[in-house]
Order: sequence, then C-alpha cells, then structure tokens
Amino acid sequence: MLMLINRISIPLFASVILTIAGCSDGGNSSFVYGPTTTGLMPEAQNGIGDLTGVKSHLDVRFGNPQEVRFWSKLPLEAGGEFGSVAETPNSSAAVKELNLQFEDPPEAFDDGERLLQFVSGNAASADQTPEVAVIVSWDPEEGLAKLKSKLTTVPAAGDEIVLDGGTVLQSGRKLYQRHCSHCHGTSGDGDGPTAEYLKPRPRDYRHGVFKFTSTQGPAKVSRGDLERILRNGIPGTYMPSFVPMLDEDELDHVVEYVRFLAMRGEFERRLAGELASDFSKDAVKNRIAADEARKDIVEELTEVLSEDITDALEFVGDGIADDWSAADEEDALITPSIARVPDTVESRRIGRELFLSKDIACADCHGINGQGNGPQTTIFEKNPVTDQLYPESGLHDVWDNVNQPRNLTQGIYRGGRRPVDLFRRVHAGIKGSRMPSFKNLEHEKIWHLVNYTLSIPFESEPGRSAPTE
Amino acid sequence: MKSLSTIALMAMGLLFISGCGDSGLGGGASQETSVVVLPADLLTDGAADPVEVEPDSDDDGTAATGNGPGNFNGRVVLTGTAPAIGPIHTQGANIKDAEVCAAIDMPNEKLITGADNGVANVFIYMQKAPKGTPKPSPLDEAVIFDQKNCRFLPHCLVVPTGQLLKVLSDDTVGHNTHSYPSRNNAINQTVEPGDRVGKLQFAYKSSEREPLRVVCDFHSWMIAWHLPVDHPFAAITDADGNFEIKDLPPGDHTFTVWHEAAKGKFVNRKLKITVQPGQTTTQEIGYAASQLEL
Repeated sequence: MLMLINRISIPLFASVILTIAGCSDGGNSSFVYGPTTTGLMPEAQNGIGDLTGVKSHLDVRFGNPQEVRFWSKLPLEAGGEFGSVAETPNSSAAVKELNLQFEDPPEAFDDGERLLQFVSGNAASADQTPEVAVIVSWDPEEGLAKLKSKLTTVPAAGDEIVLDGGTVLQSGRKLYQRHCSHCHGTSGDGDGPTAEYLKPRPRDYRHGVFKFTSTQGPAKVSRGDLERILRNGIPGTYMPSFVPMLDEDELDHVVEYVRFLAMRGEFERRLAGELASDFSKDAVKNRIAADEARKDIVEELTEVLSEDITDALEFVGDGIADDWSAADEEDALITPSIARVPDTVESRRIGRELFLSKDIACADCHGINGQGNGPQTTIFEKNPVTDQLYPESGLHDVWDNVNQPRNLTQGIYRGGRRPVDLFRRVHAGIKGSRMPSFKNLEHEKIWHLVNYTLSIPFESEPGRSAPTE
Repeated sequence: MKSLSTIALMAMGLLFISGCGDSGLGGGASQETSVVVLPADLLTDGAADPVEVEPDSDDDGTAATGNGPGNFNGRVVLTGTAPAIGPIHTQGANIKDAEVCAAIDMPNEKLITGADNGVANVFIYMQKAPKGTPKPSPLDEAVIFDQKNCRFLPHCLVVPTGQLLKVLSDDTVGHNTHSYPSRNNAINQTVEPGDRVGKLQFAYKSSEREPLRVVCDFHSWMIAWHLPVDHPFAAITDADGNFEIKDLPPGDHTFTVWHEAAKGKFVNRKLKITVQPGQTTTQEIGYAASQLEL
C-alpha cells in the first residue's frame, strides 16, 4: 500500500512543481524595451534619483499589457464617450450624483454598471491609477449620472471624463494576444515565440514603418491598409488572412491595438534616440576614452533629464500624433492621375525598356529577367546606424534583414496584386526597404512598368513580353 | 523511465485541468486588461522640479559684458601622421555605370586634408543656440544638392530647418536620394537623370543633433552629410580646414566639432570658447590622427 502511494504521490508532487514552475509572475506579460533604449547608459534608462528615465516616461504614457494606457494626444480610436463634468457637486461629502455633458451623449440606461474615468482634474492623475467610478444610471435629459458608490476625490466643473474608455483597446489587446502575439510578440517587436522559424520575419512595428501601404512615400500606414493586410494576408509570407475568423468590429479593434503598439515603439525609439547621441553606452565609452570623467557625464545627464527632456517629450509626442493622423487623410492616399494604360503588347514593350533603362535601373536589383538577382544583391554594405559591415551580402532594410528584391517571375506580390497596388509600390517605394520611390516618374510610364511586371510570370522566355501564338 | 513518463503525463494533465486560460495561471490571451485614459497634456510627473535656470548664466551667452556681437574663426588641424587614402576607384575602373561613375577618379572624401594639414568637411556647430537667437529665415532660392559622376555635391551641407532643398542630377544614369535622419522623416526617392530643375524637393522640419547621412542605393559609395539647424551658428571647414562663424552674442559658448572619420564621429563634443563683444576669437582645433577611424 505504501509503495502504491509513493508511486503516485512522488510523480504527482513533481508534476505540480513542473506545472507551476513555468508560470512565474502570476502569468502577467510585459512590454519589452527596444534596442535604442537598452543601448543607453543605465542612468538614462532608469533615471537618476527622483529624475525619471526613458523607461518610466514610456511606461507612464503606454502602461503595460495588463493595464494599457491610452494617451489621448495620440490619434487612437480607443473607444469610449468623452465628455466633461457640467457642474461642480455642491457638497464635499457623499458625492453620489454627477452632472455630466457629453459631445455625443450616450443613450439613457437605468440598471447597468459602466465605468466612468476622470481624465483631467483632481480626480485624475498621470502616475497612479485615476479614480474610476461606476455609473448605475444615466439620464441624458437631465444630464445626471448616478454613481454606485461615493467618490473619494471631488471633481470640478470642466474636468474631462470618459465613459467606457478604452474598450476598443481592451478588446484589441485580447484578440492580439490570442491571434498575433505568437509571431509579432507581446510588444509588437516581431519577436514572438515562432518568429525565429519564419523567413521573412514578422513585422517589428516599433519603427512605425509598414511596407505595403497606399499612402505617399513619407506618410505612415493608414487604417485601411492595415485592415487590408488582415483581410488578405501577405501572399508569399506567413501572414495569413484573418477573415472570416475575425468579424468587422474585431478587425477594427486589432488594427487599433497594432497602431497603439507601433506608436509606443516609435515614441520609445525617438525619445531614446534624443539621448543616444550623447548618452548611449557606446557614446559614453568614446567619451571616457577621450578623457571625460564618468561622473561629469552623469552630471550632464542629470541636467538633461530635469530640463531638456520636457521639450523632447513634447516634440516626439507631437510628431507622432501629427504623422499618424495625417496618414488617414485623403491627401495621403496615392491616386494615379490617369487610369491604367491598356495592357497591350506595346505597353509591355515600353515597360520592359523602362525596366532595363539606366534611368530607372530596375534591373540593378531585380535582375534583367526580373528574377530578383540583380548586381546590387551581391554588394557588401554597412549598417548606417552602427557603421559596421553586415555579415551577409546584399541590401538590407531598416529592420536589418537582408532585403531580397522581389522575384517578379513568380507572380506573388506581397502588397496586393491589383494593378493599383503595383502602381503604389513603384510610386511610393516600399517603406523601410531599399525599393525607392519613383514619385516623379510620369504616371503613364509607371503604368507601362506595371503592365510589363504583371506579364513577367507569363513570358515564355525572359524578355519576351509578347505572348507566343 | 516509467515514472518520468508518469510525471510528464500528470504535468500535462494538471495544465489541462488548470486551464492555463481563464483562471489560475494568469489567463494568458484571455486575461482581462484595464485601460487608463490619460489627458493629452501630461505633466512631467516623476521628474524633479526643473533646475533653476540662472538668469544670465555663462552657458547661454547672454552675459552682459557689452553688446556688440563677435566672431569665432579658426582652423581644424590634423596632428600626427594621417594615413594616405587613395581614391575609391580610379578613372576607367570596371564598375557599375562606368561610363559615368568612372569618368574621373572618385576621391575618398572620408578624409580630405589641405594646406598645413587642415582638415576639410568638419562640422562646427552649437547644439542649442542661446535663448533669443532668431531662427534663420529660409532663403527664397532653394539650396541645391547636386550629383555628378556619381558623387554628391556638396559632400557636406548645413541647411536651416524649413529651407527648401532641391536635388539635381548631372548624370545620365539614375540615382536615388536616401536619407537617414533621427528626428526628421527619411527621404527615399529617385532622381531623374539630367534633372537640372530639381523635381525632388524637400525641407527638414527639425534640427538634428548630429549630421545625418544621405546615400544613393544604386551606387553604394555615394554619401553626403546634412546638418539641419534652427540657428545660424554652424559652419563647415573649407578645403584647408578654415571656418568662420559670425555674429555670436558675447559670452561663453560651447560648440560641437564633428567629422565623419573620427572615432564615434565627434572630434570634440564640448569645445568651449569665449567671445568678446565686437571681437573675433580665433582657435586652432586639434584633431589627433589617433582619433581617426578610416
């Protein structure tokens, strides 16, 4: 009997340990910090004394996966009705009712429990979790909201509030963790558990750059572009289509969360980049080699973190807000000025001439037969950031991956195979990659190139753009 | 061993039962997230109160020791023996687009020395101008950034923010202009052969802490350096290493000395000089050959 108990209890005990062993931190996930941040000297990353470092500035504005923070400066449709407190409650004790006004008043409800968050004023605070009240009933005619329990801090008239704030990000985060994070990573760094087995690697959002867009060269990706990628996947890669698995609302939520991760990554890179020139680990090493004392460098950093950082935070935040909201405007979209030139033999012949010409030099990268084996793929070049040679030959993209020019003979077009998609690839280039923008090429010529490109997979022999009898 | 497989089976069973999902072990993908909404204007919570800026402190050059602006000039001189560097390729070399790009010897512009070991193409600039410095207003005419024989002209450029730049080409082959800024948005656009009008036009919106590189992806040896500034106190040394910066407010100033061939790119991160009102401060800036990283 004893032997039987031993035979069961020891394996049972061991398996309990094994089960729990991997689940430290209560199963919480965390955002990682990018290489620009981790390349800074520790005092710049973590702060000095009371002065906040880069990591904390980032966490205050973006939170962690369990408590995501929506910084309302950023153009994110994070969900929720925004409004303000209409009247200051008169008694300081037992505030159980509030007069609220909304831009877009929600409908009346009587018996619910919805979260009201104070965004500005006494009841809000950037660092600690601001006061959250639960509304049990709302009468839009009176503008009166009844609260479940009394508030600890009394708000004043004009304080901003939001009802059900961040519901889109909440839903987006859940969907993202389930469907996307295994490749793209919890932080959108393109380094999820499966990423090392994938080629091409999943996108690292943190540059704020996406390759296949319909927007102008310098512009960011639009919401429509991201949605199209979710809808169609990216042919030739491991990115699948998520329709009909996700419904329309869920697609929007995932897009918004991806934009959140991209903005977080970009904010981090740019903020850390402001300090990197003087305070990165490499820079500090060079400065010490040039006979500067480390404590002088730390003193200089103290001054920067207490004073100059405010300007940098504002500058970086404003830049990101402007760039991302501009991407969804109509003038960011690339629209051909003429309809597609008819796909005739003559058009294809002109397209091939342009392809091979010295002016446009497609063949330098794509090869004279469009096989993606042009001479530029054999050069050794330096990483522009570190100034060191890349280990492999060929051109590299902004994610430091080898940028293989597309083999056009396969007929697989990652950004979409509609003629207008190829038009946009040529016009704007492929952002983050070495495919440049041919913005100043006449649209008629671009269409000839598109016609020729689309015919390459069907050529009976390379260069023979006329179909055989 | 049999008991090992039993353990493994039990562990899997426990994981299955515990649900690694909605409860118990954190929840994973279905974990509920809360969202905190922050106002657009965040206070810099957590930062200590800003360090008191002393009025008329030395570092911002508004010390009232008189009023007339002064000048700062000098030379950057290479000390020690510089290694001789030959051209990147010689005339007639068998390279890409040779009839254009190998029409002349392609000088290696990484280190150009002139008379008396003067070093050309060294940037001397202030990181931040003294308070009250007027931002230079953009010129009506665009600044020209040209290329000929597969070489950017000029190799180094200081350009005020907001100033329109036109990219020209004097070659019969295609080029592209690809910039790598830190604060500004990157440009990656092709330039038509023989474009003397400058169809590619852009301006830098913000200043940069260091000169940014501009390359051509078609011809990988082509490189130029641009420094966008929002003040007038920046200069590049000429072929013999001379430079001049005019109309500086009197007082103490700190300059950055930057060169592409220096280790870490900075020849001197903090060159401190004092400018007397109405006078010219002249300084010979030493650049040790040991600092070179060619």
